[in-house]
Amino acid sequence: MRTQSLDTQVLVIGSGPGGACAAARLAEEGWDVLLLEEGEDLPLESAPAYSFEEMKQKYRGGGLTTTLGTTNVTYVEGKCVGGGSEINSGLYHRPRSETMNGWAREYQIDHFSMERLKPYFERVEEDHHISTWPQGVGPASRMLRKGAKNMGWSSQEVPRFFKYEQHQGAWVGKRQSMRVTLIPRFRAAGGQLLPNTRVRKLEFDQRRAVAALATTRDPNTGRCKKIRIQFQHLFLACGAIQTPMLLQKSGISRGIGERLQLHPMVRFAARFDEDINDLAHGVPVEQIDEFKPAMTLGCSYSSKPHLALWMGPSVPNRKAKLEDWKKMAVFYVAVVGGGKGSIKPLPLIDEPLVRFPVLPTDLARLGRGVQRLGRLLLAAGAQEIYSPIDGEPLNGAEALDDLGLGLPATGPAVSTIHLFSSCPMGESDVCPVDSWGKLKESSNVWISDASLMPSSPGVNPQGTLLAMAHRNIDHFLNTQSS
Amino acid sequence: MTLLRPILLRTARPGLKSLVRCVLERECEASPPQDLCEASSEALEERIVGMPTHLSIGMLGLTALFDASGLIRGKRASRMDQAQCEQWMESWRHAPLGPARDFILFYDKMAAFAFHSIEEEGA
Repeated sequence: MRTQSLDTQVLVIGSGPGGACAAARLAEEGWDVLLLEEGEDLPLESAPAYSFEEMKQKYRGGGLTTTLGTTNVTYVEGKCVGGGSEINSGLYHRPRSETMNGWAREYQIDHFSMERLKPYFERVEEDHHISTWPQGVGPASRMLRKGAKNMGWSSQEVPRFFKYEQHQGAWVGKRQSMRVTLIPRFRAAGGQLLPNTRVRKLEFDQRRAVAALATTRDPNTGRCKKIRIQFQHLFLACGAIQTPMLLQKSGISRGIGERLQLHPMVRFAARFDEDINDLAHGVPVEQIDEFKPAMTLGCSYSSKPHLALWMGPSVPNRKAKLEDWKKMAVFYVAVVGGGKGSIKPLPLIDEPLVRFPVLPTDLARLGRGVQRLGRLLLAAGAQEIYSPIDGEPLNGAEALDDLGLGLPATGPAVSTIHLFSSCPMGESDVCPVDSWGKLKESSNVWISDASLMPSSPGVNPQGTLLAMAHRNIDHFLNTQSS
Repeated sequence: MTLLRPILLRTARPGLKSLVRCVLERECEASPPQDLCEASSEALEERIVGMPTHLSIGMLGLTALFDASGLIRGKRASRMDQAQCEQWMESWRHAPLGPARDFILFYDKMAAFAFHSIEEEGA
């Protein structure tokens, strides 16, 4: 197979939030930028949101990827133009000042604090139309709010990366994914996007990265061709799993992929005696604040297939029960995990082995979360709560108390949608990336994805990631112009 | 590795179909429509093949093992009648080995998810 050669000033690998931000900002500043994406370039409407079909089209491995350990954690990664922003719930938070300032201290990140990040968060909020639903929250969120009030706990409506407009008298929300916001800006500024292209290896000349070896696939014919892309500067934005894997395959391994962190999550269903499920409202946006940042309680998108997925195997005649699906919803408990996982490229196959230890303290915290959320739901009027372990209906507060002692290591389906910290940034010795996202082992490689976060932001990370990407690009532009 | 996958898939297919049928029988507490059952098996097979290579091979290998291990009780799981196959699945669900339990949990969840998705969305 003949290898085609390409040249660009800046190569950005990965078109999720970090990559799209770097590519758009640099293209708008007049740089010659080529943006590569492994997945397809698909519109938001190519499949219903959160559906089985969407998983096939836009998720890596069809959404069936897992860490290995005593407790396996299923995780998802976007594999399409726009990356994770095309498939996630798009909930937006500014993290707590204590968390950002703590990162600066512990990991020795220069010129980093919530105060310094504030203008970047404001920029993200404006660029992506961060907003709340104009007509108030949906019924599942109202139920969470009612339960929180009855328990004396605080809760809040979380804004989203969504733009709401009136259409024929009704409010309609459109996800402000990267394909809707930053990718069009990148293209308008003259940037080139190459989807269906997977980078297999980077070539280095001593400390300088010089080229990327990639395979690009024609989606119509399925035919592949090899390309070699030469560049002056490289931005890696392949996500917390793929970025460390690519670096390791390319011979860069010091401190890479050794400190992976995530938010372990368990989900379970509950039934009420009134309708609480309204898919028109999309993802329920109310979250219980009382136990943040260590623990977040909330409600997931709850279509009938999702209810079947999360109700657990021991619910007999589930199909008949699901006839009443509007009275049911899926609820979640997400915690800040204490373990640190690893990512290693597997020999012979182009895949990573992802290992992550879910610690007994994580399982204890998840159990306490299920107990708390279960009590809240009972206080809100839930008729039946299904165990996250096997789906058995839990009868009353006593059954919840047992779960409050902790979940078993096997049995509950633990999942996550937030992965980070596999290439943390800072001047500390444990960080392979400097305070501005530059790989310490190289003179021209920057990282711009959730790998950079030194530890959990304690909230949905997309807003924090975008603010950090803007900050680091500003620094890059300042240093290059000087 | 990629050559191994089609061979494993052929070996695993009868076990996969019987696992999906068992889950759906339980789901509906009656015989689910044959066409939906077939479509769910095909959709799940496609997803398993699309998993990262090492996970896909592991899942297909375990599926083939589940089927063949039925010989301990006299016949492959795919040749057992419905009640026997459910019993065999139940023994794996409560096996002392974590991977065996996780394997059954995967089918419990994903077969139901595929079935309801196809019913709802025609996915």
